[in-house]
Amino acid sequence: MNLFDVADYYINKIVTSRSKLSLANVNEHQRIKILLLDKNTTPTISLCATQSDLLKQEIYLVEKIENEQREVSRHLRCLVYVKPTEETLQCLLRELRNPRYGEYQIFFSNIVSKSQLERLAESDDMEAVTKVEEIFQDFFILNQDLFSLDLQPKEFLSNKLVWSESGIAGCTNSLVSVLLSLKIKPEIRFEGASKLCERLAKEVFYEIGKNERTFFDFPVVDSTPVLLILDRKTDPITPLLQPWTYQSMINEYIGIKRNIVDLSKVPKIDKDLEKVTLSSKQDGFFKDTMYLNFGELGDKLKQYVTNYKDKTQTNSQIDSIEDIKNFIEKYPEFRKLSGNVAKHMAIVGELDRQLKTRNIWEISEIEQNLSAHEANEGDFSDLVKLLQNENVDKYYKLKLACIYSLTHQINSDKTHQLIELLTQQLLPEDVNFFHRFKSFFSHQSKTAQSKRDKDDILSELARRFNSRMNSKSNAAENVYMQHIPEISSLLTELSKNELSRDRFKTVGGQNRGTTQNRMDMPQDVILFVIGGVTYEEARLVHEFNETMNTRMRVVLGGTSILSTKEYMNSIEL
Amino acid sequence: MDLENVSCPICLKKFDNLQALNAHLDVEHGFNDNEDSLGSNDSRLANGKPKKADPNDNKVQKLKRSHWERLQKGKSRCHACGRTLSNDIGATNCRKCGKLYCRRHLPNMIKLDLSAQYDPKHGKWYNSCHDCFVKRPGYNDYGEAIDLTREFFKVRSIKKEDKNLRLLQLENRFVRLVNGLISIYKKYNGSIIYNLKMNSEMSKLERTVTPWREDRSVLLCNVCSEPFGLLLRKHHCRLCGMIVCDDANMNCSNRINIACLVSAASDLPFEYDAQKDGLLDVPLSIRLCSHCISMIFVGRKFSKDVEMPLSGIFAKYESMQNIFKVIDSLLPVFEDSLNKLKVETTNDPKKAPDAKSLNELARVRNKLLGSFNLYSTLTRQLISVEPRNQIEKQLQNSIKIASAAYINEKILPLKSLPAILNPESQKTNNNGRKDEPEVKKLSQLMIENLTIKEVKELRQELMVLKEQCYLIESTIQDYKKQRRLEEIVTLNKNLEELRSRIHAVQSKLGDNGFN
Repeated sequence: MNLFDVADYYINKIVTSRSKLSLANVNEHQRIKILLLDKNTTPTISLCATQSDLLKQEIYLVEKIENEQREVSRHLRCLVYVKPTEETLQCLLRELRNPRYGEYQIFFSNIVSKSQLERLAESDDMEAVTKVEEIFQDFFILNQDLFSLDLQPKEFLSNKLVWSESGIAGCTNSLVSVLLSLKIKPEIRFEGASKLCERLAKEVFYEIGKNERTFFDFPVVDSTPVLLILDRKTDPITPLLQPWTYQSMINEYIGIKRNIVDLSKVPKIDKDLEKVTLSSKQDGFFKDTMYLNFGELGDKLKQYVTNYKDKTQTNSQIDSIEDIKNFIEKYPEFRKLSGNVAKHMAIVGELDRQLKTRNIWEISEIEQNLSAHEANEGDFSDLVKLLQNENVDKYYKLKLACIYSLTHQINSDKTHQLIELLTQQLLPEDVNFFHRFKSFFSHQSKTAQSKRDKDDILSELARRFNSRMNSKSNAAENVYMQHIPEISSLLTELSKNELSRDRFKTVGGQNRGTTQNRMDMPQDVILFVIGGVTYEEARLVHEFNETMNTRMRVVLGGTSILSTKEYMNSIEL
Repeated sequence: MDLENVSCPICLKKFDNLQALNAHLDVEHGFNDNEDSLGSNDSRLANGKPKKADPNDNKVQKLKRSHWERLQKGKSRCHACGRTLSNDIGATNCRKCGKLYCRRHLPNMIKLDLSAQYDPKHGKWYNSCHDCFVKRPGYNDYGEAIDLTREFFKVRSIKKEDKNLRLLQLENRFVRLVNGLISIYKKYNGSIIYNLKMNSEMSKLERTVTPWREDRSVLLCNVCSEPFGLLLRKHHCRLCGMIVCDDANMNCSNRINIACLVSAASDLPFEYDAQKDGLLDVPLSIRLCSHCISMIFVGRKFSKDVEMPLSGIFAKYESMQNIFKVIDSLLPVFEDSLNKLKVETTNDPKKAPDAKSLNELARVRNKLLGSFNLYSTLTRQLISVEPRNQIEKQLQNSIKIASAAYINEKILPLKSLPAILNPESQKTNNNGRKDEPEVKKLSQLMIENLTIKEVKELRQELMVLKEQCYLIESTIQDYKKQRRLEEIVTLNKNLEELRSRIHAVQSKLGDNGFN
């Protein structure tokens, strides 16, 4: 269940596809290849393959199908990789009626309907198409166990609680493509209380049933994999807290979109570093550090830099021709290393600056305390002090208040005091937002609270599991990472096959034995969160996978990847 | 797991040992509801307890055990970590393959039937090693892909049949029209009196070939659907008979010169040939709508373009690819023999590698370097070709980057050779100067350029080499006459070496060379 393997496999399938004509004519396969993408597949490719990867496969041109100004060159062989949307299909039909290139091999990133295929066939008068294939990668792979659909709530919801028609269709298709790409036919479970989850689960179930013969004809596995669909609203605290691991901090403070970090707003940044790519696949240092917290990251970076310095020292002594030769041999590697060091230095420097200027250290400590402890006078007075601090950004004050309202019983006294403070400090629309936020989550937090009491054993188990995990990473006493996302306890329950059947229902009612035998725990799990996931949760899933060591494999996905700001905005809807 | 202090995974009650916990589970949590789960629970718990083939084991299940590896005290090792198995680290058989593992390396559960074969449907859970776990069919599978090509072709050929009929009809009309018009023109050509008669005869022909649409019945252009009026006049397409406009911007219909038409569709059976019959001077043209034009001519243009011989950049690239193939086939050969040599020298550092294999290696390397040179020369030539359009410009840029990267990457194994070859160079080469220029070659390749001085040097070298070559050839001739056959053999070898050297220098010089 390594998503990078999937991506590599598919890309390789596209770029190495051989021309059919080459069998008849030996010279034919020497045609230069052009890769034609649409706006959906461009990021898919760019997330998983670098330009030099493509060049190595003799793909010297990459174009977008939407671009009508492309020139005609019929000596080229065209590899088309597109998502089968109506818009793209129109472009493709137009392209085929008057082909710009000599030969077309078409790959779709998801299921193509029969009528779409017929229309395509009808417009191919020149018989320029030599291959049509469906591969399934209608989602964006970010880490080896994390994917995103890059859908903002505005795009898939018609209002706070209801899917829009295009939203549900897109989401279902993408999720089905995830299942197909991993060759999994899962048991679908969903958060019973959420209408959003229920709808999506049923649509996916229907879609699988519809295509059972053609696509989902996989060998039976002894432990049925599970697709667990969750709703962000049941765990709203996690995306509100300031994150502390490398990847998530970059997302929070600088912004990382499809592996590209935009550093152009950083003061005094080098011209070459304005836009840098950061992928755990190509960057070994990032792969090692992406899940580390800020303190550990600092140590690693220091090591990295000293290592680099050692290398420069050996390189600086160039006396003889032999040295020059050695230097030239190592030069490309060396340049790569120095670029990487500069990149990470710039990013970490910027993170550090942001943390200081925004008072994140204090804010985060209070946030964590609020989320981890129940009503505590000390925490409240800290909160009040911070709210009165003029140097703290209004946004963080509002967020703190929201976190407080989520974790504490709505104690009228303190809440009133809080609201009073907010009205003094914030704009009226922000206070308004707080009220809406409070009422929106009030009933939910209550049910969650009661559940927490009831499932004491489970949370106890989760706690033990987490303490074990933390002791492994020596972060048990970290004030800034006290909060443990709900996903953690869900995974622990899943690994014991004790996930509540009342809370998480199964589509299709195939209740596999009422007695829950812990031997029947799922060995492959896909978690999908409607409303987005955080990189903190991605770290958690990654660590869980490491601890379980193939006994259970988990892939996490969400409609998008959230930063605190994005989450706050999405609530505002 | 701590053997002394275990706690129930469900209610967290503490127990002294596993048996107590087992009893607790059976009684309190109803795990003992049938024999199957009892069996699997036992096997699960066996995980914590070193389990030897215990003759007193009175289990209900009858899982096949004959394939189990016997535990030999102090000898058996875990198949995953290689530690000697003992009671401390546990010793358990993988229930599927029967190999012995320590406790830590038997983490997985799979379903087996009683003969220890994988049975996902009706099997029971048993411990298994990671290997057996991963080897289950469909477990580590990914990357579903469905090839729709055949289906696509089927649909396309069905659709194509209708279209082909229509195309045939149009082409038929087209041929008749062109033939008729030209013959009428030839008949009356040159006489002014018959001009009128010619026109009427032509329009009669046009109407017999294609039934024209009734003027009054049509209000909109067949192509652009604009309403006709005073400014937008009606015209008939001479092939399909439909009524279209002649708006210059929309290009719904055009009058096209007959010579152009004939030469654009030269595969059709016209009675006249565009060149031979001087059609270029015939002032006739036919009105065609854009539908018919695209139907008859776009396909022809397409297949003509595709079959056109490669030119410019594309032709250069083709030869680059050929070199590329040569390099690809040579490199593994080279690496193989290099590795062999390395192994030999490391095994016995005193023993000098035998001259023959070194010679062979040097030859392959020479060939490789030659091909690399040719490759980079071709790249340079390709880049210097004037691009005809944007695409070609982009192509040039990409190929430049790609070939630089390629040379950089592939040349690495070549570098390691001089270290082995250099001390032995006296043995491998009679003239001794062969190795030195090779090192130089490397640096040239890196920079991908030859200075004027180097070119001069190389040319001189080439001249000397050619002279030597000539000398040896004549000596061979002499010796042949004198029947000194043994010497001829050695001379031939020398000659070969010289020729390969000449080839290398020539390819290095590339287009800087002289003939």
